Amino acid sequence: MIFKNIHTIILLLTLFSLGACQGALQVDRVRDFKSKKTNIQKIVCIDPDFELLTTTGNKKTERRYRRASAKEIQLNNILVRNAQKNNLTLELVDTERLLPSNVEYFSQLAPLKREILQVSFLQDFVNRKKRKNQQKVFNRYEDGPAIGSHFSYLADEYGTRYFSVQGITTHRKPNNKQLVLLLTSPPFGVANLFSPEVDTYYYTIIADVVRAEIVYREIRRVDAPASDTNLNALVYDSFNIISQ
Amino acid sequence: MKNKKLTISKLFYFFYLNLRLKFALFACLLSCTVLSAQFETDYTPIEISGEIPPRFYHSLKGKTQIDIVLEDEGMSRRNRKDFSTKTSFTLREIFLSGSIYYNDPCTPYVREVTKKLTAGLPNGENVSVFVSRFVSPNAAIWQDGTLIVNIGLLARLENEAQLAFVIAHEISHYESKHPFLKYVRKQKPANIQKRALDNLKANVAYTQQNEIEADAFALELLNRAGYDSRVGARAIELMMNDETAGGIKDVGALLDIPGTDWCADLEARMYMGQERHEAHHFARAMLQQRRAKIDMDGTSNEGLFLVSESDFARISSMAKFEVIENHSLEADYVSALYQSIMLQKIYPENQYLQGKIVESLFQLYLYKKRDEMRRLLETNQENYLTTDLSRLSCFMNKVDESTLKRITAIYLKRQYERYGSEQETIAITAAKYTKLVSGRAAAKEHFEHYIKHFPYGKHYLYAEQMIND
Amino acid sequence: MTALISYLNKGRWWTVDGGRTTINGGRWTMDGLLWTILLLCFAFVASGQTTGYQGKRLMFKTDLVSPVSERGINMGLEYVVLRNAVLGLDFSLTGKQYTQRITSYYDMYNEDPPIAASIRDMQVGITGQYFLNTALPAPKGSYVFGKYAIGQADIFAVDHIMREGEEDFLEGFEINNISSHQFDLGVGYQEVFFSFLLVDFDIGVSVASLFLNNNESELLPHREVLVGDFARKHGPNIFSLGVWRDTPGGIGLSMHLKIGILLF
Repeated sequence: MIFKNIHTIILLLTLFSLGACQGALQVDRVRDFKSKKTNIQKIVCIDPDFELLTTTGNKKTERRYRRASAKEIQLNNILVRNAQKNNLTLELVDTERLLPSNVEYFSQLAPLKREILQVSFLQDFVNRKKRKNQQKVFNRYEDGPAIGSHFSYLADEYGTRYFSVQGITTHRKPNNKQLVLLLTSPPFGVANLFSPEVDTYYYTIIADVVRAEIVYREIRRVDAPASDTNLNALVYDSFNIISQ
Repeated sequence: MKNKKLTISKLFYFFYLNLRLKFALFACLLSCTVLSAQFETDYTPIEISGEIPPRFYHSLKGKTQIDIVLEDEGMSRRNRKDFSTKTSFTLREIFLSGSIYYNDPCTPYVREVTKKLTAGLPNGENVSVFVSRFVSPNAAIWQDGTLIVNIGLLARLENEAQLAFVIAHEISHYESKHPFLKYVRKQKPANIQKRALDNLKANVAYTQQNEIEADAFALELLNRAGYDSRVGARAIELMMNDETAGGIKDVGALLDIPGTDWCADLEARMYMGQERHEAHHFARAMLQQRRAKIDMDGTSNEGLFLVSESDFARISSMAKFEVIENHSLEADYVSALYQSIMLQKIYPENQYLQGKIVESLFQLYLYKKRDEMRRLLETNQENYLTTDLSRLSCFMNKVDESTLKRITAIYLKRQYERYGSEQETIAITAAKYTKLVSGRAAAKEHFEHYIKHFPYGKHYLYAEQMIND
Repeated sequence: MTALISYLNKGRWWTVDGGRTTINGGRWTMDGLLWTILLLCFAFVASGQTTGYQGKRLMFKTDLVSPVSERGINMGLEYVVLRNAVLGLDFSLTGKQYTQRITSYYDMYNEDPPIAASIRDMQVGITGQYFLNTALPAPKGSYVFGKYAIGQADIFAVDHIMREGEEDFLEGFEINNISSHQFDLGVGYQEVFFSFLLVDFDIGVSVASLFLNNNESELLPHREVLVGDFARKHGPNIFSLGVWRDTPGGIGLSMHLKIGILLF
């Protein structure tokens, strides 16, 4: 039976190898973080970043930076639009539109952004009962990483206790799969020949300044460029998880 | 008669001048006394306020190119444009990070010193000076003339001439277009492979030849401006070594807490990998070589201060406090603790320092409890280059949770009894510590204490939330 | 639904037992099975973080390859039931024509019969897609899919009649209401354009069976062989590799290029 249908089995294996899972998502949040319970209405997003990295040896630095800044404006619009679709108000503080009078950015938001990124790197979420070694896609924890409580006064000034740091990093790599794919399955090989090898990372970290902890952290990787449709899908899904 | 009138008016004039001088001297003395008295008892960290300065603001619009005029140095137009863009974006990132002070007391002083050095230089007007929050004792210049002096450098140096030497050295790099030449060198295919190692040897990003040239030209600039050029060697020595080293043998004894004498036997150890270790030693060897080249005998009290001695003393003291504040902001609690303890020897009654010690101990205990101490120490390992700091970090790594808890508890209790109602940091840290150790119910009393004594404090909403939870 | 049940009744591994269709020796009734599937679908819809593409979850798609390769249509409705899973109902109608190779006719005229045989197959199926990229929720990205379809087929073919003393001739015959089953397994990639336009490409292995024995009218044994000869190509829409077990119907490669819209 097996030998009779060996060609079918080989065909199936080839097909499944083509559709290998490429992409990852991890969401960490504290147990209390649930918008229906906490009633999140507004989030202040501190200067979203858009970074274009390349390891292809392409030296067109200027073009890359210009594209990154154009993309950053695009990302800002996508963030605000998709937050609205999930009934969230996103107050976006963008350094591109900073005015000389916006001194609060340097005295309040830039230090908060640094603190959020720093603490997120230095501390993990802690589960009091058991420290889980195996990470799932969606994780619930007792305690989030602790940020400084001296930012709590910002809740009064901005009308919300939730402040977020969001951003996109794309990594363009040398395309090294062409030959194998061209030999095994020409249609996919040809498609691969013309599509660049790009990884897109999207991250969101939300801090509750009143409780002085990071309540939500999400990182996702997609093996596709940061196109409008991809970003819309990623950002909508992210806000959907936050607002559920 | 006329002569008499003239004499009277002259006398009056002299008297008036004298009065102005006396008044100025009195004001200066008063401010020094007030400032030193302020440092004796407390310190308020510099907070950025006021309108964003124009130059600063334009840097934020870094996405519009900054103009760097360069002659063709064997580079294509595209490469020169790339260099210009890179410089522009690096500066943009630095400015946006909130690491640059403005409308602060330090920057005008450093600018005055720079002005003395750049007078008469062809591109001198292009040099614009900023003071950064970075704690490493160094300064850096970019090809557009942006000179960033780290607060760590201001805290380390002993006189204005030494500061002038470091600034002059950076200006020399700028005048000789070293940042651009460095970029040209890195663009050569053979050097691309070495970039990773170059990054590790960040301190020696310029070639040693460039550095020696810059040193020689810096001494010339010092002489021209009227500074004592013999301070160069001492400035390099201070940048290499922390003079306070040798102060720590036993952490417990230092904080007057018994039972931790075992840590005196700990061997100071670097956490950094072999490559980083080598890079660090290589950089030190290079500095030694530079120091030997410009070492001159003799000292003099002339030409040490041209702008203001009292201003330097004030800024130097402020910088020492700011370094602690910035260590704390960068989550380098081991350095913050160490520097606070060292500065406490000069200002034993300073509440700010007590607050920082308490806060640093609490944060270290928190990281220990969360099992993240190793990650914290490894992240900040670049700062633990002196033997003392290395030993302290080693202690923090090895000490068990209960011992650290005991040290924190004893020291916190002692300070809470003394300054609990006056010092905000101590009051909130006591509440946080109790919450961490005994739970929210037990900490309620401390949070209420905070709300009662600091109704306008920055932690107010946090304390209120903790009571209501 | 009635159509679906009537198709299911023509299946081979369940029996008609006192007017009620049962599976696995009477443990499951057919209606019960369908209701369970539907309830499960609703349960999936109600739970989990189902996002869809910007909140849109219902899709209508139609295949562009089928009209060309099978002279038919293939369309379906799909719904995002979990963040990475899509369930769909699929309808297809094919009318593929085959050149018959009748040995006696070929020996005599050295050519194939001028009248082509055809299989008209109408199928209704259930599709399940699992999207592989956890970071990008369905319906965007690459996926693996499985499809099970059942239907009713009508076959038209010709027979070469040779009788003594008479001139040979070709006689057409029809076999109606044949129960057909098809199973597909493969991978695909779906992209969304302008937030509403879908382009879906999939490629997979198709296995089809035509149950001639289930037909009520008696079939001459040699006609069964005649049908079996071309019916082994039935099923896959690109090329057939051979016969799947002993029943007529082929195993091979299928490919679809669908366009569709995200409804809501």
